[in-house]
Amino acid sequence: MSLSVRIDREACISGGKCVADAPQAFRFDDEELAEVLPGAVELSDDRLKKIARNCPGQAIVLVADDGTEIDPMAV
Amino acid sequence: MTGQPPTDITLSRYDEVRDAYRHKDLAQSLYDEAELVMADALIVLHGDEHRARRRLENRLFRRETFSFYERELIPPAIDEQLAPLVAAGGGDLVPFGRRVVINLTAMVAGVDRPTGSAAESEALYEYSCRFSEGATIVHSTRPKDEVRAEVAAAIERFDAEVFRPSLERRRQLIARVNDGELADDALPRDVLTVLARNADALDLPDDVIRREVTFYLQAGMHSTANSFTHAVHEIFTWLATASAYDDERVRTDPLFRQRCVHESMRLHPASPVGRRRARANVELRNGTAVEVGAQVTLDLMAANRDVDVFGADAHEFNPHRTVRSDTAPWGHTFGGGMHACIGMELDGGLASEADTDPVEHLYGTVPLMIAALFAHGARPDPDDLPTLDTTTARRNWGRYPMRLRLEPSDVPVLRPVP
Repeated sequence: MSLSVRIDREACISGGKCVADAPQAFRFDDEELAEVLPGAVELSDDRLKKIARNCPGQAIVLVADDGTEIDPMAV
Repeated sequence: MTGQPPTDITLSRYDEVRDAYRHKDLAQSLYDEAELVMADALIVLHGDEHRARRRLENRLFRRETFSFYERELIPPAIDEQLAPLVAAGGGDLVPFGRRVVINLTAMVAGVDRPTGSAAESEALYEYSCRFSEGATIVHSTRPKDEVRAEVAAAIERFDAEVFRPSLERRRQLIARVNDGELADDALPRDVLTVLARNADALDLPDDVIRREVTFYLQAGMHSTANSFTHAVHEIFTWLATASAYDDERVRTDPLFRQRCVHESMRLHPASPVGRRRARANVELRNGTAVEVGAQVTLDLMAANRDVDVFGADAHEFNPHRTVRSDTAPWGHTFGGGMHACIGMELDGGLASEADTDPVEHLYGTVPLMIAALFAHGARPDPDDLPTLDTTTARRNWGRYPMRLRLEPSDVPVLRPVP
């Protein structure tokens, strides 16, 4: 499976763990909420799952090839 | 509807506690009895209000800020407080730990220390003790009305002597920035400044700002200071029967020493329980149904000792323990979900991995304090045994005498070098 990632801006609490853990994949936008960079596609699924699990706001949404959202705690 | 009150439940397995922490319909309720000091503080907020406040405050708690603290501020703060103990050949680690931590937490919270004197730090510590008793009144072994009266008196004094002057100074600075007289970076980077600057946008009256500041002061102070003495005890107890190799690693390998601290943190969460109240009917992953209004107790002591996650020896201190990739070595000690401890990385740093660079790594305040002890040949005082704090049901050390050596150790790697 190859996961992609998006940010739920409503849920983001600007914790910054994703930005600190994977600066090639995440950065802060003008409102200091997380946004995804093109480098995110280079991250392995396992790495993305770990980053999503560590997000205190649960704002990192993992998406499978078929478009379904993946629960990072269930995989 | 049966008219029966909802059934409260207790969760004690690691995975179900994690599930509850992450559930958005389970709201904080541990501080329901602590309104005097905790009403409207970040940790009791929920939903939009919580998100708006945390977004602002999180900007102060970035990893690069912690790295700066770790390189520039924390080592001298430790050395300053350790020097008198070293000169005396030893002393009680409990006041040492609290003096180091109170100055750091005051800085983060935005509590001014105009004279920088030891007496001033001690006064702040006394305030933090009263506020902490108020916050953890649910676990107090003393008459609760008596505790509440003491806390109310302390709040009144703190407001007049410490909070108002600190707030006024920041308001004047903010006004000068707004007038273009000062640059933005002239403002202190602390919680009080952030809240004072955004008070109108977030509709924050002064008493709410004060409770937020006192929350940071007491929460940062006690969790870190107690974590330090627990780690000291666990490490030295373990060393009494450890191999020569392990003994050497604790003294010379900062990553392993940090692993020891994380193992101690797992065994000693600052609060033995978390509490949540269901805002809607909830079904947890394991099928447990939680009725709206029900209280959910998260037994952190039990969950952090879950043998299915931490192994058959989960009750023991074992820094060689390996954990699943989805599990923190400190377990649920820093909470989880939206209320995960905002200062977690400042306290314990980051968990190391196989490819971690020990020079660049973030260790956290407690591992740095432990490193400083080993640098001075610390060992428990055989003639003066440690005793527990009897004023709380929480199992914390009240006194922890330790002997120290005047000359620094010749052990080379005690602290990361920039």
